[in-house]
Amino acid sequence: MAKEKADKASAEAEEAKAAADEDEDEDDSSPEATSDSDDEDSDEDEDEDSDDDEDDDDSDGNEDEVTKAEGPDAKKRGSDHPPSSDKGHAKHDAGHGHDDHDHGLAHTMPIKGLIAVWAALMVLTVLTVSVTHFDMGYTVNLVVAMVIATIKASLVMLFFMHLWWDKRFNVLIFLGSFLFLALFVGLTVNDRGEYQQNINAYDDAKAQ
Amino acid sequence: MTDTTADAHASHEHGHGDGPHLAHHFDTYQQQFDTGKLGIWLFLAQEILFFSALFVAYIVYRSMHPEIFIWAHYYLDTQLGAINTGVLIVSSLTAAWAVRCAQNANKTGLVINIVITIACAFGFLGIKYKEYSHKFHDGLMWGPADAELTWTRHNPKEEVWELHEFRAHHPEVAEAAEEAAKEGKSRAEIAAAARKAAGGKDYGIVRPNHSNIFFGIYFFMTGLHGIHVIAGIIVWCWLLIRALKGQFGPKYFGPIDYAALYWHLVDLIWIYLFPLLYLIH
Repeated sequence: MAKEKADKASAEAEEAKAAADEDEDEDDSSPEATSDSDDEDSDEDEDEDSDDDEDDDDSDGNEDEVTKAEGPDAKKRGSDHPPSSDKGHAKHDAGHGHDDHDHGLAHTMPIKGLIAVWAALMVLTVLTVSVTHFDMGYTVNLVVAMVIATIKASLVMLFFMHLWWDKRFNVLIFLGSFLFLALFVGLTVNDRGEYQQNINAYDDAKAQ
Repeated sequence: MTDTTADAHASHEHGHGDGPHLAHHFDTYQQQFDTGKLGIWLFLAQEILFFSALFVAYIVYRSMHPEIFIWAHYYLDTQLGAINTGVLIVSSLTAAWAVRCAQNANKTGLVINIVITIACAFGFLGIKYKEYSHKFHDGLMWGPADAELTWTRHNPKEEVWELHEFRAHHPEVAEAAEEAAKEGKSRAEIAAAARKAAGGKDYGIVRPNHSNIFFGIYFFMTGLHGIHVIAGIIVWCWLLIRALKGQFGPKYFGPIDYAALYWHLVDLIWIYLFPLLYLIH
């Protein structure tokens, strides 16, 4: 259904490069959504936590660049203006399609998603501690712990770090570091026993 | 949101969408944001490589001397480690939430989330301090037994079989080992006695040679991680001040986003450190 939104948005603003940007919202039926005549998508963020918009309005007065627009109807005015005039960028246009609550510059994680990832991380932490009570052998216990850690790390990377929606190039950079990590580990482990003789000789000498 | 309005106004005046937070060398907020994001990802990539040296040390040493890691794990407090993992995960949630709030120009939410993140970071360091001081008092340091700096000497006050936790789980093994130790038997003999009492299973409770190296790795890995947490606190405090000034909004939340990415990386490293150090089995 995030997809539907994408379609709607792109109908208004084509090349909605922000395809990454829609929120996975459950319902659009908040009061605000109906008051903004031009767009039902407008409040997709607010309807998750309606106190958000209260805060929005409060904070607007403090926003340096927003001093002109204050009060609750600022939002309305905001959506009437063609924001694309300042920058004709696709993402911003897509943002317009979403009212000004645009996640114009990057993907916004919905609160439900954040909480779900957090809960999964907590459950996995409890799980990884409790599996140590089962003796499955040195190697199996280690592998299980590393698999769970990797699942946790993936959750953090994909959702908390927004990698799922990030530019491919950024993903490439980050994952590239793991490639070099693998090289580093692989090559070093490969000859890890190289100096064992010297260590043994040293120990023997010391023991005497 | 209303930001956009202001920007639209601004655009009529300047025709360029210049805002107070749009640096002059960028054409658009999007370009500014993407540039910063690229920069932080490059930084995080080198952070991974920075830490990787310590992980390599760990992997090499553990694969060569699993007995040291098994012996040392009896001295680590799994409970405190697990609590710290939880604390960091909570702070990761609030960091990600802070980004969301900044994107939505939700100043109150942003400030609250940053404050919780900082509080969790202090909580983490507090627990870490408790662990470190225990290690210090129990003589579980990294230096060799004849180290010049006496406070770094590795000189465990308690043998594994004297540890409360081990006694609770394996009383007969602890008993046998203690008896053998009292009789002044050699380490190999104590190990044999313990193995016999355990029905042939080796719990690895007799201190192996070079066991101080484990604590070298332990302090280095958790210490470098702790330094990153301290750096994170400094960054978050700076951002808290800026957030209170209301500087962040849908078009300018880059600094919050970048700090959160860094913070998640710190969490990510801990996610591996925790099982590698505290859950050795």
